Amino acid sequence: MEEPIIEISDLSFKYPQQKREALSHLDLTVTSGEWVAVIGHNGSGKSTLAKLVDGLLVPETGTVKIAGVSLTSETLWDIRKNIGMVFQNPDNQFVGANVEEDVAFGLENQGVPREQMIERVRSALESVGMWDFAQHEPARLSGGQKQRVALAGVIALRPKIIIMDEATSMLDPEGRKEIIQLIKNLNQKNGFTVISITHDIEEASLAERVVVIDDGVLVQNDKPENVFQRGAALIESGLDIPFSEKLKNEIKNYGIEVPQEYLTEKGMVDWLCQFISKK
Amino acid sequence: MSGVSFSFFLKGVRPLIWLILFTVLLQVFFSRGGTVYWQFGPLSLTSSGVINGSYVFCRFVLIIFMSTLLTLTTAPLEIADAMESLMGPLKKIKVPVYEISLMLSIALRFVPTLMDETEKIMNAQRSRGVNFGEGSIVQQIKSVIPLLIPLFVSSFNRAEDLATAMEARGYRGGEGRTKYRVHFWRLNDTLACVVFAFLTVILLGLRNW
Amino acid sequence: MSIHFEKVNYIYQAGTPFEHQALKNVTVSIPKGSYTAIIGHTGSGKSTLLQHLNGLLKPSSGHVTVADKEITSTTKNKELGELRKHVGIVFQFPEAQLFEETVVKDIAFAPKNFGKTQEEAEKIAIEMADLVGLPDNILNGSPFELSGGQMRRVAIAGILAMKPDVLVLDEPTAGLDPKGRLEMMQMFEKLHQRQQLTIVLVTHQMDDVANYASHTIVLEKGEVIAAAPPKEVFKNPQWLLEHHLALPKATKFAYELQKTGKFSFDKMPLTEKDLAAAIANSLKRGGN
Ligand SMILES: Nc1ncnc2c1ncn2[C@@H]1O[C@H](COP(=O)(O)OP(=O)(O)OP(=O)(O)O)[C@@H](O)[C@H]1O
Ligand SMILES: Nc1ncnc2c1ncn2[C@@H]1O[C@H](COP(=O)(O)OP(=O)(O)OP(=O)(O)O)[C@@H](O)[C@H]1O
Ligand SMILES: [Mg+2]
Ligand SMILES: [Mg+2]
Repeated sequence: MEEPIIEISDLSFKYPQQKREALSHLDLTVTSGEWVAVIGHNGSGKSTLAKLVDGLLVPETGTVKIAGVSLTSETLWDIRKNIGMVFQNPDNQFVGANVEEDVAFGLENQGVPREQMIERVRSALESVGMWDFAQHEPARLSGGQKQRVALAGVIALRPKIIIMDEATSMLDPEGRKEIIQLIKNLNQKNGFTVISITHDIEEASLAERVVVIDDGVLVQNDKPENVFQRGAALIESGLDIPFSEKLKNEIKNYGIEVPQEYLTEKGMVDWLCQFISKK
Repeated sequence: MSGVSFSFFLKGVRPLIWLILFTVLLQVFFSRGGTVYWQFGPLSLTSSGVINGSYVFCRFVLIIFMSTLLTLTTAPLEIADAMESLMGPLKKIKVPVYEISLMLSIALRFVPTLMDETEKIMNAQRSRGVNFGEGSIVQQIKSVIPLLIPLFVSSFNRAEDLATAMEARGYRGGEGRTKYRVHFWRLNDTLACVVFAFLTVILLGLRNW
Repeated sequence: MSIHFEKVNYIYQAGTPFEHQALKNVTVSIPKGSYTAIIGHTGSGKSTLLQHLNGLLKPSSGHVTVADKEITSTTKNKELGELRKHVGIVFQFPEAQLFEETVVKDIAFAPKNFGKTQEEAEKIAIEMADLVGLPDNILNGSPFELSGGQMRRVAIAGILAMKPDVLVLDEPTAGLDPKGRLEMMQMFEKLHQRQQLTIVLVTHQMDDVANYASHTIVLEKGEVIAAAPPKEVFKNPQWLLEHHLALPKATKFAYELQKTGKFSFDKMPLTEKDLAAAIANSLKRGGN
């Protein structure tokens, strides 16, 4: 499955109230089934990019193609059927009175017959482990539960692309891990294309590719290990410095030679073990 | 039937008890007509006063019971659904019934959120030394501003986010939508209707008595 | 200003069908001058606990003592004014509390409420804006035209302007990027060091607990399941696992190293610095 699913070229956008372009002449291609992480500091234009891809904003210049179809006002609604978005703040995206009705909202909009809807709502909620909460009011769920429900609403639609805009930012570490694992399964088993906008290095390291945006400009588009190689400079790109890089720097202070290239945490453990054995 | 305990209704009545008593006493002592039982200056105790008083009392208690029951047992969207089916006939004359009821239901859905938000902002401002509901009238009016502005800003942001999310989820008006929820009429519903029809008759009877 | 909770229970919406006991028999102390981190899952009662610190919530039963003031279920709001001046709470997403026309006026709001004159209050406001790292040129502009991180700083300055003895922070870095987070945490550390502020921090970031806190309170479903310095709390990974809590990255890494059998640590390191020191030590000694 090497065909491109998202093709963005020369994309620019400016909010009317702002002087500066929020996104400027951006080119990006994502292949079907890929997992791409988008990183950048606060206000760098990540959410703006997501909204442009979903046709929620209209670009000044440039084009977006989804599965070979150009995004225009005619194709807009068909294209949206291919894209599921999970937003930063789950509270502001619930429409339904209870969990199952909320998950059904997107299906209702697409005119899915009721019998199918019932089955799809159920299986989506089961896949995020929230079927037991079907009758609960969304507002009274915990942060992590809300984010699962939001995700179920997307899964039920069976889109080709899932865009998560800092969808795990409000969670405790365990809740975050669970959601990321869930997405990973969807990506690997069901072949969903995933775009995850994040400040979390662990989430970014799961991606096949990391795209770095700085003040509306795409500055890097590469494998995670190559992006993480930048070490301390990463913090300017809205990502934490990888733990192994921090540790390397600290160890260096003790006059110990450390390898230049980026190491994962596992790689770091292996390297330390080799080092100590050689002694 | 509703799973809401009786003592809970009483709690709902309690804050209003003085208002109710005051109105009832007003009715009882200032109504004229019917048999006069007792009189002192402008005050009089007459048969129609007693009837009016009990009528007002019943009305109050019923309103409180009903509204407590409705908000506790029925989710806002269900209220909106009910509105939609009641307004159903209007569809024929091209009233955007679906849109109106969705708007209504979202407004209703945000009532609890708005209340939470109000509470949060009040707490934040209390921590900055505001005393809500204390001090002179001027002070009280002044203390409303630090509450209202943040509330307005957050509601506005929320509304914008929600509109974006709904659009992203493919919402484009009532055309071509299917419905997930269906309603069933149960024996209890029939019973409730009968009871309330009965009460209505009694009240009407009391009034024309 | 030391703080003590004694057998505190708190029940939301008592007597209704939505009744929920959010604190259960909480007995715990927050020592004067400490940097106390409160951790626990979403819904474990952290924010509920915080709101008891300045009497926004009063215990359903039991009592809270802050300095000499005892708060019980019957304490009147009137008696709490003085306390609120001494305990400043920065709520989650505090930018939601901004409302004045200019940044300075907003920061000056609390001192004015607590009896300072307009001039005094604005003088304090300018000081505080500097303390939290806001540039001068925005001070007379509207707080609503700032970036998210700057709005957050204005809100925090607005609490610091009360000159509290205790600064209470409910997930103060949520939504910020790592750089903003680091700057914010370093700012609190500076306040703690220089002004001897007692800090109470709610956080999901175990690394923040490891790097800054002197004391930890762990909540689970409204109960305190541990109250000890971070190194005690993170000593037992089995216990942490049972309670679904994470380890600081450095500690986790140290356990991974230990599993290889080539390294062993007497004291589990909590921060990168400790870890690097321990590793360097092992490397120099030449392994197990
Ligand atoms: N609705 C809006 N109106 C005006 N300006 C906006 C609007 N939304 C965003 N901006 C501005 O556009 C720029 C890019 O914002 P965007 O929300 O895309 O950033 P982001 O990378 O998603 O940041 P964050 O990490 O904080 O979510 C920022 O300077 C922001 O202030
Ligand atoms: N106003 C309220 N009415 C009823 N229940 C409430 C109210 N506020 C909180 N609760 C409940 O009390 C419990 C504790 O809530 P609290 O906000 O203290 O949790 P928390 O530990 O701060 O969680 P988080 O990490 O998500 O902020 C939760 O189960 C919550 O649902
Ligand atoms: Mg964003
Ligand atoms: Mg909380």
